[in-house]
Amino acid sequence: MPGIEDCLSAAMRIAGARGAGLLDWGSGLALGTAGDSPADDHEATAAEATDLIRLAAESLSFAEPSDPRLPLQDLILTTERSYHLFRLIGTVFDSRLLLHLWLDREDANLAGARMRLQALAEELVLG
Amino acid sequence: MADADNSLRQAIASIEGAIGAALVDYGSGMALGTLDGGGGLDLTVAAAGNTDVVRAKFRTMEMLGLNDSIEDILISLSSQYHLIRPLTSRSGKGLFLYLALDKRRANLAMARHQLAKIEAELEV
Amino acid sequence: MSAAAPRRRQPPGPAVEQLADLQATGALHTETGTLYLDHGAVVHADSPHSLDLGSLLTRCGRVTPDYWQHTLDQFAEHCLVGRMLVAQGALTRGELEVCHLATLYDAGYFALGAFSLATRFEPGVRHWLGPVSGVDPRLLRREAVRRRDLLERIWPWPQVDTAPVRHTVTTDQDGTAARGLSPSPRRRELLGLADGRRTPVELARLLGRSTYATIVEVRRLAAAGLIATPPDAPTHPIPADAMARRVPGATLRRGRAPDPPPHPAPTEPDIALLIRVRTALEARL
Repeated sequence: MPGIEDCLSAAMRIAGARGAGLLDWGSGLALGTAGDSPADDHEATAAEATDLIRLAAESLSFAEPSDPRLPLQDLILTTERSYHLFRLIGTVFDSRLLLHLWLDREDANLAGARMRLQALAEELVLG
Repeated sequence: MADADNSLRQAIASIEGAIGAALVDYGSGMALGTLDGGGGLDLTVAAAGNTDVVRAKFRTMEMLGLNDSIEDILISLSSQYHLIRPLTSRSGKGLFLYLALDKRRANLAMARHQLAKIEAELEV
Repeated sequence: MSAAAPRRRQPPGPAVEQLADLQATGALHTETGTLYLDHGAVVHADSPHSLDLGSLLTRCGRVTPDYWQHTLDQFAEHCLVGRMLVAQGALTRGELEVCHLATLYDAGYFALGAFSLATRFEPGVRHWLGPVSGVDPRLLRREAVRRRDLLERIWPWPQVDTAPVRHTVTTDQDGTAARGLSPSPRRRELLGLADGRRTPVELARLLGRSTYATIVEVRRLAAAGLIATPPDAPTHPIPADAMARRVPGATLRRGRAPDPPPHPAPTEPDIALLIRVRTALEARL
């Protein structure tokens, strides 16, 4: 059964991975990190990334009033050299968790990485 | 080259699963043009909402000292995809193209590729 | 045991760092919580002001209160509660680690904000949860400062953290959409309970949510004018703008203008203590 460290190590084995983090977007806290961070500072990256996700998650345009679940599932940011994948994790207990994976675009397979990250997110809370 | 209206029309017509498109000024959050593809989305509200996300992302990049420019932002919801693409041309600075897709019908890779093409041909 | 534990004239932040340097094992009690150290790492924290692990897991139904109590009765004495929750299949390892860290940082935020200079260290004491993971005390302290700064940026009126939460919109429309805040179910639930009697700490406990995250939400709602911001020193029996409301045609003050307090003064000891916590956080971290 994977813990936070196993989950992040597995994320770092995804092709093109440069850094990974398990973040709490309710508080901006990094519960765990692995590899590098784009700003050489995992805590700053966590605070900024969670702010972005909070805005996306709470953005008025995405609210589907008929669906009580959080509508946001993932967010992928593509830049010239990188992909940033943010996968939200649902838990039974109250939380606002996400997995962040930073990928080198040249070495990454976006579709594959996205599916793998979803599987890792599910394994972390489902065992 | 295509103007904004033509680009939005092309996006809705040619991209499988497209349910709405807009050209948005992220300085103000105002939509310069919107086209409803039958998705029943309030595109003006969506434009304002997405502006917050785009602004946050630009601020994040600035604060983290990243010089990497944003190509696109893909947001997956339970039943839709939202694709945001900042314009790269000099005249399009401060604008982004926004496309909403029906998740059941959309091909994500194809949609990203086609929106990139439409963006490259867009003259504002 | 406490008789042997000397009181120290040292704020909790420096105290825990010093204990970490000594690779100490034991419990550091502050006025607002306890930090448990194992060879210098903070392995757990609790505070009467933050939601504890048991409440987080039982309020949502992840484990039943009976099961929780039974596990405590059987394994707390041997500090094996965490390990047994996973071994018995009640939680996945990932769930335990996430819940443990979330409650540790939440309690740490309050414990480190103690006003009093007196801290008390009980060497050798271990927490009943047992080993899950550890946090560097310096990281915990940095995180507490970041959390305080985040609240300050959202809405710099800390009195909303401790005052009873009162919804300013009284119609059935909760008004979140109109004010640019997403009317998420979480937010609606919080506003629905904001009846002017419960503090954010009480609301968090009732909802089974992180206390800090609830305070963040309350500050955001206060910034949007959806929750009343009482004056810092709420002693005026009739606030000036309460009078203005009675004048026909007078403009209702909304948004950034503080609303009148729901009660004349915070008299409950819990609130008074939290106000001191807040003052101390500002002064010391």
